[in-house]
Amino acid sequence: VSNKHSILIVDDEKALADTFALALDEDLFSSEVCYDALSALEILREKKFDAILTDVRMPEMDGKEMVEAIRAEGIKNGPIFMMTGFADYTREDLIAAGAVHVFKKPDDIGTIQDVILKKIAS
Amino acid sequence: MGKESKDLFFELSIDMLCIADDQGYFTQLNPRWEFELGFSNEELMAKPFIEFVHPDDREKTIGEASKLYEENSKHQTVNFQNRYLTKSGDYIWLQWASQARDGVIYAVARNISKEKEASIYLEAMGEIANTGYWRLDFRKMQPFWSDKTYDIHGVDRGTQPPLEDAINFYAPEYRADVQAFVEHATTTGEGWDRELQIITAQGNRKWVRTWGKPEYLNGELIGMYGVFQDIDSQKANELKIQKAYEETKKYKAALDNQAIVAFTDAKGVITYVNQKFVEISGYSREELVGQTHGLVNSGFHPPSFFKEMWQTIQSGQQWQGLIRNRKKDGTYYWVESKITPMKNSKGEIVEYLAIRNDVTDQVLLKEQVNSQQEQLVRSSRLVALGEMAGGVAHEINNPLAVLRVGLMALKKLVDDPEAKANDVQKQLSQLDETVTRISKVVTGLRSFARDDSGVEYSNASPEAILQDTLALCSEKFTNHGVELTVNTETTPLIECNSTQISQVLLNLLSNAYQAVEDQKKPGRIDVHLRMQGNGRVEFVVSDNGPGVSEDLKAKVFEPFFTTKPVGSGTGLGLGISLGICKAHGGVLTVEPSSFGGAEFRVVLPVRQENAKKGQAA
Repeated sequence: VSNKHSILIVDDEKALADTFALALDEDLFSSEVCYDALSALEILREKKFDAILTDVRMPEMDGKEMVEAIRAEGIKNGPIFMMTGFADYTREDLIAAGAVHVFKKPDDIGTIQDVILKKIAS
Repeated sequence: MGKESKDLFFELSIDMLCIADDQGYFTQLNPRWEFELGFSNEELMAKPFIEFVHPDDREKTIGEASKLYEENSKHQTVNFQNRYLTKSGDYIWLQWASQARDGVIYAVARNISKEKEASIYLEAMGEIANTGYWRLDFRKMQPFWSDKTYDIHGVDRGTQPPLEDAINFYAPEYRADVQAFVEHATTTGEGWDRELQIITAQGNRKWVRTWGKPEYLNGELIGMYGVFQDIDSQKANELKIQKAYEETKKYKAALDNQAIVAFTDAKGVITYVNQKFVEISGYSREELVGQTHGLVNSGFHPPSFFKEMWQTIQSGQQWQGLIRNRKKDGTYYWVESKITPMKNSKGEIVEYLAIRNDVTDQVLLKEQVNSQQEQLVRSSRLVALGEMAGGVAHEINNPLAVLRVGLMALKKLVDDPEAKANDVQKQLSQLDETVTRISKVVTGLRSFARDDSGVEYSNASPEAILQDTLALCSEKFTNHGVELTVNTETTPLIECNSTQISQVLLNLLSNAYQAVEDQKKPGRIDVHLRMQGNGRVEFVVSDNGPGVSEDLKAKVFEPFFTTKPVGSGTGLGLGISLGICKAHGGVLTVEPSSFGGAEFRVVLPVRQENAKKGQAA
């Protein structure tokens, strides 16, 4: 339909998830938001996204576990970007789990957008 | 001697002379009879003489009279005493000497009422004073004992008093002494007065006072006389008193050795101080006596403190308290003081006894411990803060991310000419909310981390304290799927150190979080703030974690007790929290929660009784 990149934003912090969706350039991205990892998995089973941007620390299932579940189930999708304000997991852990890049909260939306576009292109 | 001269003597005699026949009638009486008895000779001779004898003495008199006849041939003189009726109706005592010749009785009687009276008083006095008398005539070697002397020695009255073996009545250890003082008396003429023990006829030891003197006639020693006083019971009392006195002396010495002792009069003027008082105060006894305790007043206690003390002791009650006093050299000492009002037999307070103990070292130690305790509270708060730091970062980072991204979104909206004003407005209010969230966390942090050393109590809103504290951790709870329910009632402001109360609440919330964090079921933490109704408010933190078992209930408040894995908790939290609650006149307890975990309850009084009042920093 368009050359927009589809992106799924997962964050239990609703305000943040919504704001991300709002802040991303709508000429470049079509965003969908989801507030927990389990719902995200359900969506992903149905639909392939060009990119996934997910929070790490979330109740019930965290971002890392979600990435591992995606891999385990063999769900096909674009690169996964993670963002965290914590030091629960090391950057290496998250990369090893399947993330292509880890953002630190709070990171500048411009930077985030640039990194995502670059990774999708490559 | 002619009859005429005999008749003249008969007329002149100041003794009563008489002749009686064998029918019991007087036949001749000299004029002295009428003088002594008041009856005329005719009246006396009209009846048998026995009718003039006191009824109680008649039997004895008849007995003595019959003796006269038995002894007739021997011309023996019979001596006896009886009482005769006088015309006035009184009786007088007569001492008789009589003989019988050819069936006729010749008798001489002497009115001895005066002597008899004196001897009655003497006897009464002897009875009262427990004193008997004795006499020993060396010429006849004839001892005499008064009745009381017999009684004291436990010997039957009227028996022959001992002579040679009298010494045996003295207890063996006194015999040499007795011999010495008797010999001394007979050689020097000086008397003796001793207290010693005798052994009675019954074999009992008895304390007596013996007083005696040698008796001289024309410079020649003719005998000795003296008195015995039974002082056994008074000696026993004396010994008891002596013993009690010795004991009191010991107690006094012990007390003087242990305590600072002072007596004051009813107005508080010092009348006595012991050596300890002198030593500790640095003032001499002379400087202290005559002054009030104002001399050692350090000015530390307000006048109301001493007013309260005076009210207590003046009402007759003992007062007890801790006082800081000043020595002569200006340095201070602390005494634990007990002041007891001393009353006279009418119940009036006549003096006060103050017994004090020097507790300066303990007070200084306690001050040191308190400051260490404060230090501990402070440092444990920093530890708790450290434990919370990761959480706090998230508390701030998340909204900060929202802010940052939100600002970009806002910029985009502003740049987009097609954007709706409504969307801009919505975004602005979201950013505003986010800023509020961050500022709450900062407020919580600030109120938690501030140094409260020397901070006094101030009026604070329990709800504000709770919200400030929750701001530090609620984000963390929700992020980890812990269901947090907060219920607050409207309460009055409470007088407290809000930083410390916040520390307690954070400790409880943090424990609750750790209790529910690692379990399979979803975590639940309920927080309630309620008014208790009796001038107290309560904070209740309940969780659905594993709970606190009955045997651990008391232990969890002990310092360094922890159930957490090594490294994850200091074990100081609850101990310090309890300390803080107690210092506020409150309590901290744990019970099972209604939904299966632990329920910690902090109850605090709205008003502090003796708190330091002022403004919190």
